[in-house]
Amino acid sequence: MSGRSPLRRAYDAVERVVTPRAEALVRTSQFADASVLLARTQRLVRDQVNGISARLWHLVNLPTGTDVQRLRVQLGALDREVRRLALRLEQAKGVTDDAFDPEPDGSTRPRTPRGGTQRPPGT
Amino acid sequence: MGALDRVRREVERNALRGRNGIRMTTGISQPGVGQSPKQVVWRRGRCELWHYRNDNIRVSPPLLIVFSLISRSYILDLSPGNSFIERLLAAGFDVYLLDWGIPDERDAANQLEDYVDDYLPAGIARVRRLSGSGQVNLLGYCFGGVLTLLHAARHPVSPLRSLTVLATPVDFQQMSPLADVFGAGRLEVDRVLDADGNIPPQVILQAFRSLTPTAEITSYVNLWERLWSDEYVEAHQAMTGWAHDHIPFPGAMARQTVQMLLRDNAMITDRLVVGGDQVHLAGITVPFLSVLASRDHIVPVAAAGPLIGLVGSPDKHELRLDAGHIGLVVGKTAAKTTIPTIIDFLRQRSEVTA
Repeated sequence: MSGRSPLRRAYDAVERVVTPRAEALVRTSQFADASVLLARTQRLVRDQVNGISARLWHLVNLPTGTDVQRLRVQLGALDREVRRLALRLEQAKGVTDDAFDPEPDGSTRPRTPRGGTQRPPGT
Repeated sequence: MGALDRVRREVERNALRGRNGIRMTTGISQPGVGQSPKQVVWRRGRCELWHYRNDNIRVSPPLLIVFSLISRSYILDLSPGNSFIERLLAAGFDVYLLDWGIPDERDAANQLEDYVDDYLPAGIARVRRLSGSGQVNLLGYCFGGVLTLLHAARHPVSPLRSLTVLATPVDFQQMSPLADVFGAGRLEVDRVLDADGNIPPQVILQAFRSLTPTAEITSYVNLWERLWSDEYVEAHQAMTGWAHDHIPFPGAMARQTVQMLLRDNAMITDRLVVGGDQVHLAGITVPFLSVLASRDHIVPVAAAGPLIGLVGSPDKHELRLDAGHIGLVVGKTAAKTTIPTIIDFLRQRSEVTA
């Protein structure tokens, strides 16, 4: 390391001392407690702000951002159900081409699988 | 080297530092990542199945890679000459990759079952159909490894020729500080979900940053030292770009992960339940390879090490390397040891034509 600049050598010396301590610190229960407290505080502040904003918008009979978010999550859950059904239908049909999106050149064509042994030979 | 030469070298380097610094800050130079030619051959929701182009396939059955759900899959195809995928293609493999895309509010309710029972079987079926092969070699990276383990254990008749997992945790209670924060009911997952119902990428990024608190500063110090080198700057941009490029983690699956995999430590205690059914890792009987890194700060050896003893395969192997989490798939250790070992393992359990 003799080719290194004095500044770099100084940084390395500090880093060698600081890094193990910092890494030990983030693995302490106190750090975990502080992280939890921070997450809870952030959530609390966000909920308070959203609550005030929601009351204001509801006063004029308009939907709030959280109302829209709730709808999006409900739609998301519905989307998931449809997706799972589609996948299972696809499996049941033995993989049809309904979800197949080949590239425009069409170079990849579905073929019928050969073999289909469920386990490697000899097991 | 004489004093004059040193001064001349420093002047030249500072000029290059200035040029590269301007390029980086203005965003003029963007590293090309994920450049191996590929096609999207199937998609459902945000999930896509990619088929990498290979005109010289010499190994059968095909290899299906299942990527993690917390970061972007281009780390496996980072740059030409430093690409896990590229090496597999050169070795004659027919490579497919299941990429999860970027989950949004439509994925907030996704659970392990969605991936283990739906997406993975659909992906495997599509690979078999496209390749004409009856089986696939399956490879899971990080949390993708968890999904492949659960799939192989839950579906013993799944047409797998072999299963390879990289940096895959099983003892989640060893994953400090994640285990400290979410374990023992300290913090509920719902507290960190975003408006979409997912764990936002910023939370994941902060969690990773906290694992190595000084690493980012050191990486910038290293960058300043080597800013004159175009090659180093490009590699730095590609790596740091990926390291900051996380994706949302589906909220329902986060709850499941914390409760079952972390608090119940279900992989270790053999209390895994997927889709309402008990699942046992001992039920995995296909040829199995577990690759773990001794300097992995994300999935430490204590978290990944017990896996080899849990699977039931008679033909099972473990490879422990002196590398970090990313070093398993990128860089010198990957090129010299990880990739050749994986290739060797797969080739021995596949049909190879000249």
